[in-house]
Amino acid sequence: MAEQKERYTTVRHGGRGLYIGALFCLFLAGALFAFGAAVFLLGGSFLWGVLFGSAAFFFFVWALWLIWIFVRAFEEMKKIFERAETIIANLADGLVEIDASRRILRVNRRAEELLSFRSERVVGVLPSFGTALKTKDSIFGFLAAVVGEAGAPSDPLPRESLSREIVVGQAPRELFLWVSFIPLSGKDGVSLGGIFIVRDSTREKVIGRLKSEFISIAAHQLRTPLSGVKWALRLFLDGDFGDPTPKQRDFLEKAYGTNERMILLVNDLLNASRIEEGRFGYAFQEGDVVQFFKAIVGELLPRMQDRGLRCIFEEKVLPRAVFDPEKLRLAFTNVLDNAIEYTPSGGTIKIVFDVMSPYVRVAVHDTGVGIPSHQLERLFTKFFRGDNVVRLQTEGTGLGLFIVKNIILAHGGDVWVDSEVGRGTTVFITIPTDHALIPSIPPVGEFPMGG
Amino acid sequence: MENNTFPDTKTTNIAPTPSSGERDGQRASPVILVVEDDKFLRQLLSEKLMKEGFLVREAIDGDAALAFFKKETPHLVLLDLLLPGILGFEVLKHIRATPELSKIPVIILTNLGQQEDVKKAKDLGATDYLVKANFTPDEIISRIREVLREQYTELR
Repeated sequence: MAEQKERYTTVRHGGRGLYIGALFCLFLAGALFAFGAAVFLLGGSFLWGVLFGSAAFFFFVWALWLIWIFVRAFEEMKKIFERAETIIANLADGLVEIDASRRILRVNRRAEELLSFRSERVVGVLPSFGTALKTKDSIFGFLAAVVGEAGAPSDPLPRESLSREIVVGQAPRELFLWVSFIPLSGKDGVSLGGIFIVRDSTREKVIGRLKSEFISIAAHQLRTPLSGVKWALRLFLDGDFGDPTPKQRDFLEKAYGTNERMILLVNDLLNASRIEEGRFGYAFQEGDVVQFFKAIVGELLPRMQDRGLRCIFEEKVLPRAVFDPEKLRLAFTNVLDNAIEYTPSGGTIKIVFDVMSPYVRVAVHDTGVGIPSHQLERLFTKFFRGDNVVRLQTEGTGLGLFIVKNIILAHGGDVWVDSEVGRGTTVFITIPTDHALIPSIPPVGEFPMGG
Repeated sequence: MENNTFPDTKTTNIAPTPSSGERDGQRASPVILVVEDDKFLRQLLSEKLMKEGFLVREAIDGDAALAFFKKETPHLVLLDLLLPGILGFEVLKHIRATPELSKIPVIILTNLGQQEDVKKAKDLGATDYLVKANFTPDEIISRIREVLREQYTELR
């Protein structure tokens, strides 16, 4: 940075001041010379002439010096300009520059490659957006796809930067491009157009896909031996090979339980990888959330009783909500599982409903071990496990809440948590009552908890 | 053939043709074809099914299953999807496309659990879809009984 500053001092200090200074000096030199000459010619003493003459000479030299700086500054500027041009031209990312009327000003080499067109053919062209939308593969279609599909070029450009993934070309040789539009505006807020940065994210996409596929295949392969162990142990336990002794039964039960945990882990891994692949396949329908959850709670009631937990279910009549029953069941079961797992015997699990128009909200409150406040933020990330529960018991995959968050966000709802260590945790889930609130593309990822 | 649960050969075209030895029994047991490539799983399933009074036929892959259908018609097929060679989907397609077999209930028993797979199998006419790791042998047996009951009372 310091070096950069050093290098461009002349330019920095140049500009209009330098120019005016040089003119002023020249003028002063001329004026002094003329004045001195006049004095001398009108019979003044020789001394006056020398005095004015040398003063004029002094200013003349000064002016020359300023002009020299000016020329140097100009050359430096030219160099900087060329340098910037070269940098832009050779940028590893594609760059397309447009002015406020969407006229294309510049297309760098990488953008030409990625979008497969020649810059000579598009630079200076004012895209007519009416036809642009029809020619999806062209540069204009590409612009329209990113800047929005609004009609005329007279429409103002977006004020905020925005990004979108676009796919060019045909499978299997398609390119996944991550395109960001960055609007440029002058000091007075007047739009100067903007730039598109085009990044080739095909490789990341492919690697991500391979990763997910790998997990998916590995999980399927794991399931076969797990099924074998499960079935064999079950047959033992059911007495198909003769009645086991109590001690044998105890250990067989434990082995069976361990195997079940492994199966759950594999199921969670599969769900997480499907979520990440964006292939979780949602099918939304309208329904009564309260009755839906009541049935799930009913199924888990025996387990709660086994663990000495009290369950309060506050029934309520709510507007019908929009949800995917299978996915919401998975999410809600995960939340309840946590409440059951991390609440000591004698505790209470309470399920309360509310309307938060246009959403319905369910709150699952437990009197469990709680989540340390400094870890709340990471709660919904993959493989997260609370410090306190890792020590408490080793079960749990750390994938449950990641799956919950992704499912709820895909519904257009949200999930958040209030918790106090030693006092308990409340998980809030909102589910929309309107189809319009469901995002067309489910957001995917690890969402830290905010707000 | 005094049989309350299963229809007589003469009255319906989907009737099974168990081998003569078994036919001599007082009450013919339903014949289940287990299509499963994993030896251990096949063994476990067969043992359990036999213990529960079913007659078990085994096929280690899709080709074996198709060959089996040329000789015999089972009451129900337990079908894995990921098989060496011909996939379970193809076997299912074949069953539904063959008039003598088309009415046979097919329970998919697999470890593929993705929604696309479930949908594809259901679209191809699978009667039920069970993920192996999520069901115990007992649960599988009770599903088989349920399906048999529904299927064969319906046809009466």
